[in-house]
Amino acid sequence: MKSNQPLNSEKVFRPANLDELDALAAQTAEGVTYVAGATDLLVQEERWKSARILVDLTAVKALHATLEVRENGVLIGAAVPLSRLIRHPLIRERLPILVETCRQIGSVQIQNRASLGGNIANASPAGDTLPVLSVLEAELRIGPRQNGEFEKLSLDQVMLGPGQTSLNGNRYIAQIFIPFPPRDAFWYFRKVGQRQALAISKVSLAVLGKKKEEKIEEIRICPGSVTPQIVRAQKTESLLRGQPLTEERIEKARAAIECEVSPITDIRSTTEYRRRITGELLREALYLWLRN
Amino acid sequence: MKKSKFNIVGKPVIRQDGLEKVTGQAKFADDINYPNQLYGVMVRVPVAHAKIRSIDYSAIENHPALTTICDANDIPGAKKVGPIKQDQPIFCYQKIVTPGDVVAMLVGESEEELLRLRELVNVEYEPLPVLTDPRKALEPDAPLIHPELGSNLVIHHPLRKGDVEKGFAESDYILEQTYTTPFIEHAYIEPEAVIAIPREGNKGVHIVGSIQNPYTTRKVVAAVLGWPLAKVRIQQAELGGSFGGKDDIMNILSARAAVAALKTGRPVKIRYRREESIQESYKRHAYYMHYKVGFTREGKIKAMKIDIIADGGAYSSMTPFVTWRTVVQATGPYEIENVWTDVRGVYTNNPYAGAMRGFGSPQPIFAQESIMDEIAVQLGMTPDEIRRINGFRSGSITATGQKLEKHDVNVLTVLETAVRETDFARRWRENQQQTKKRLDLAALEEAAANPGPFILHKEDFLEPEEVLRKGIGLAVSFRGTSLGAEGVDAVAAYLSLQQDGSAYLLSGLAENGQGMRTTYSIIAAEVLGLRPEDIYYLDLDTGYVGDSGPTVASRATLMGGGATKVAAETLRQRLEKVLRRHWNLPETTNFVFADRTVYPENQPDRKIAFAELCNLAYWEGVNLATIGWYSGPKVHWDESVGQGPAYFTYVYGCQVAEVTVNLSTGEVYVERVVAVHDPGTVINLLGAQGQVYGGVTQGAGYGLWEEISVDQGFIRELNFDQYLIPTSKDIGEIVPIFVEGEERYGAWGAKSLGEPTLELTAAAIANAVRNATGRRFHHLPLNLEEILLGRKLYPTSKRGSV
Repeated sequence: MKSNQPLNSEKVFRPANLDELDALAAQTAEGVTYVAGATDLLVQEERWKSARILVDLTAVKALHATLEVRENGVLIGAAVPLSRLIRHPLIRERLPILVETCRQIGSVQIQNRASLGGNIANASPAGDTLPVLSVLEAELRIGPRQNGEFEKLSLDQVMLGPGQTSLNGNRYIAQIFIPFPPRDAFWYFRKVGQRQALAISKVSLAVLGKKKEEKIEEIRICPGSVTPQIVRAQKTESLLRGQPLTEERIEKARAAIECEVSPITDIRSTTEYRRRITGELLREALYLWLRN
Repeated sequence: MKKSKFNIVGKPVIRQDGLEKVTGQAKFADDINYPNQLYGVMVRVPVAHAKIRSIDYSAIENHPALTTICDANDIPGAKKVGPIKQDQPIFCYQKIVTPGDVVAMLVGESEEELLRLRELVNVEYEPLPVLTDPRKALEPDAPLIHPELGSNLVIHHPLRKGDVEKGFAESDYILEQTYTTPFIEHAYIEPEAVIAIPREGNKGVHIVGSIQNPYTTRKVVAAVLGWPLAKVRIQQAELGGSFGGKDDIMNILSARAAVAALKTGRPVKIRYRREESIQESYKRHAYYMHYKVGFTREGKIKAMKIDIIADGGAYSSMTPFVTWRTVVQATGPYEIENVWTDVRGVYTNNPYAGAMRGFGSPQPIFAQESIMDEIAVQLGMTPDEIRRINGFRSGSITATGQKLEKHDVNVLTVLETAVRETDFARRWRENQQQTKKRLDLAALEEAAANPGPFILHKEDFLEPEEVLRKGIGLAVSFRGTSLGAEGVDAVAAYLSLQQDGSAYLLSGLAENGQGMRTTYSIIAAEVLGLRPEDIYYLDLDTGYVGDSGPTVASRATLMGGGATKVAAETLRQRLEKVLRRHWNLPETTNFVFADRTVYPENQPDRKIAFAELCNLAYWEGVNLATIGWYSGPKVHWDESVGQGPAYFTYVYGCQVAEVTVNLSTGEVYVERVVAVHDPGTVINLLGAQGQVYGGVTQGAGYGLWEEISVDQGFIRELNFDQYLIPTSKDIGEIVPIFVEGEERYGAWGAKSLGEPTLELTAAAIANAVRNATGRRFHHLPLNLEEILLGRKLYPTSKRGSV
């Protein structure tokens, strides 16, 4: 897209602030493609060429620059490049799981452009940040604003399936609020791809947990790439919650999650491999927790 | 070390074309445009095997975006081409034999429009049974890919030495195993691009492109046009990677562009997108290899019987030569008295296979080095011990009956160097002793097949630290240098000194990214006492120097280096003659050429600047330009029994791979590869190291990730999102070590390195994985599924997870 003018696109906009963005959204009820880093869009020639209206979000500070650390969490602009999150000292301290995930995405060049909002809007079950946002119980702020307020939605209210979101018409992801987990929380994120960089996950797994007096007080488990929608493994979670973490319990949890997920066979992997690895990753995570 | 006698040779020299390439200034074929230029877009039919009934262009004929259409009817000369057998049509007119086939080319000003129009061409065809399994190609009821040939056999290379049955009878043990390797893609970063420019009057056609072998391209274009060779001029643009891949495909695209350019009278450019490139270009051959080896209790190999089927795909291309290298080298660098080898290349409806870096060696090395390790395990030896017992020494006789002599036969030297560097034997033994406890695969498989809770017992638990296993493995090889008995082996180099001491240099071989221009400049500079940057390397054009054959077979340094040295020495002698006359010195005076000056050997203070000497010679009317010529010694070959001195000399290499395998996911991390090679004399240390870094990484790709899988003739992996090549994060440290053996041939004994670096890595990794896991894998690549489940799982085309 050298010329900034995709072939079939009627218009490309680059609103300068949130008001301009919302005014633009108000005028165009349909067919808007919002773009931040465009790392997913640009490599899909057919998709960007068929986009009717492209809206570049990188001049809207509220989306591209917001990084507000509050007492209980952080508010991140949907278009903030992942590398800014990776470098941010407080995010590194309070959300190491998110930082680690961002580090494993694509390559440094991709991290310099890609954003959380883009990862969500692309709605790929292989989107690496999605399981992590799910276990962190992130809250999405959706524009355009109604009466000056963004609508607040959870990830599973937005990401509905492969390539499917509830963001119809002119709606966009503005910001993401991520509550801080307790400082002593256990966290784990791992993706398994065929290679170490620039690989789309075959399977990933995010785990966030908290123990109290040797028992699991809270645990959140979310696999990626294995289900059409990003959903937590609630049956497996309930098998663990309130229980002491033991080797037997770990093996049971592994067996449970292998039954709970229903991975599909597609271009990247097969049901057989994915089910097996989801269990293996959970086992790896829980053993790490048990040992530290 | 003999290096001390050199001023520049063996030192690290930065590539001449490095700056322009890293700063984006270099002009690749698609950067070059001509006024009035048209584009060519291919028409294909989504079928793997069919008889063409008719091609109907009526829906697009009168479209304003279409300047013309070219198909087989527009070809004045040869309608089919091929380096050995002419079985590949420029445009298909009788049959489609693989989905990459092209029936016609639409020519016009807008590629976008042409891409739309090509969907409207109506090709009527009659589907034929599709043959995809090369092991069934020779069965009596197999569909014939080229019925006029009467068989799907492209070539059969037998090799008979000694008496294998006697050898097996004398053996204490016999091992038998089947190995397979997949098709792989060259994955050059620059897809195909070429422009044909019709020249005025009777001057013919000028072609500029991403072309590996300009002289071969010229032959093909001239044959297709029915023209004399001299009427076709091929110029090489900067080339963005080739690895053996820009030969046949570029010859054919150049011919299509030339046909269209002459038909329209306008320049015609063809450039491929990645999907089209992978779809139509040739691949490395998939091999099916059966090895049977007999050996004594003491570890001496008595007999080896090898049966190999190479999938040549739809066209013969280089299959006869690729498989010939296989038959020569299939037993590895081991002295074996009794050998019986059959290598057969066959046609199928798969994408066609041709030359790729390695050229018939990475496949048998994987098999042969795997089975060597199995012999070691069976006898309780270490892998280096078994190789020490059987490895070539000076005077050894190869499987083809050739005596290895008159050069350093360094198999054991490179082995010992690598073993010492890595503390190999101790670590290998330690890894073998790692806890034998493994995942109960059968139970897990069953559980996966019948989902439901299942309980593992305490003793079944795999502690997290047991999941990561270390492994170390090695592989060794010998490799015949240059073309061998494949054909004529001679190279030209043009060197022209200017009045001020600067120089032009041009060889008939092509810069394909290997750094050859710099290598030749170093050689000329060494002889003349110049610096490499004093030498300006010219653009390759078939009009300037003699046909030097293709730039293949790791022959550029050996052959072109030899020719460059001859040229430089010729000019040096002319300059010496001028200086003797000028200073009135006797015929016996020897001179030193160094630091851009010249002086008599015994009078270091009596110096003349090189530039001044050139000026002197210029005013005396001395010819300061010459063409150096270097031709390889004769080799011969008896095809019926596969015996003869196949190559005039050999190079040797040993690589050790250190890996960590994650038993729970199947991931293999390559921690370190130590690559010890004897390439003869190293000319450019930096260039040589670069060959090792690139070759090892490419070899690791072959070992762990890369595969073109084919579904009914159709390639599944059409772009780099699915065809995965290694990134810099996928491979740890690479340690190149050079053992520079003595050699008579080439410039100061500089031989070959490019292909040896890549042919060993997959085998070394496979042996390291065996050492780590206790399990032997017989089928490349060793991807996650192969390691975890012991088989390949081919995903469907469903894009469930975008």
